[in-house]
Amino acid sequence: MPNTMTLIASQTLSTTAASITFSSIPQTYTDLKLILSARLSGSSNVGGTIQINGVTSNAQRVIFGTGSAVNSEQNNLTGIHNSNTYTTNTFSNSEIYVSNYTSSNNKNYHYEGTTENNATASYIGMAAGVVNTTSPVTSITTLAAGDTYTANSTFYLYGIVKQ
Amino acid sequence: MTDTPMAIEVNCKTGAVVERPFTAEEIAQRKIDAAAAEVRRAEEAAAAETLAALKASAKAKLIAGQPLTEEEAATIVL
Repeated sequence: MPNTMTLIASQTLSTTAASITFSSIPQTYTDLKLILSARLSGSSNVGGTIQINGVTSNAQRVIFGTGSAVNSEQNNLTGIHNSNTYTTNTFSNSEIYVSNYTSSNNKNYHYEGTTENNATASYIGMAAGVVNTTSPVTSITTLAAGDTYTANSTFYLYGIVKQ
Repeated sequence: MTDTPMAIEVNCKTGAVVERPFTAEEIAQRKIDAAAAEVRRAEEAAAAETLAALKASAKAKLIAGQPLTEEEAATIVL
């Protein structure tokens, strides 16, 4: 169980950006949690990937639900965010959790996120992945796949110390 | 001409925030990610179309008093 959760760094976009990287992550915590509240510039809600230490090849399994159907996939897509067709000024809510990020093992993470929209459809995405790097995590990048995050999207990185 | 995508880097140690254009390698990876996202979008669209067709068929059959298939019946929320 987490004992403390400390904000390491945050970023609120004042303009669009295709990726956000938190670098020089301190090595003083046990786990990391990255919380996103994001909106995409394009018309699709499918659009995020994650990189740890810049590694682009993750072994990842994804569960993706639409509220009326569920798909299981194997790809690097983690993010599901509000698109520009969603209710104005609404943003998705997602988190990426990296456990034991300072260890000398390959790095495990999980993702979960949901969209927010004044409509009858709702989307949720969940993913679990392993990044082939035994180095401590010093950077985490979240990218909008082929798209950009809009202004006012927020990204908060927390460090968690276990009891 | 397509604008170069921009990356934002937040240095957790110093707090410095840098905005820079994607490198060539990042752009190449972005295209790969975009292609994967497009595959999912196409699958979603196909699934939505199938579901809509099943619902329409289920509704028509209910009105006509005809038996539904199991797939059509599954679209009805009870």
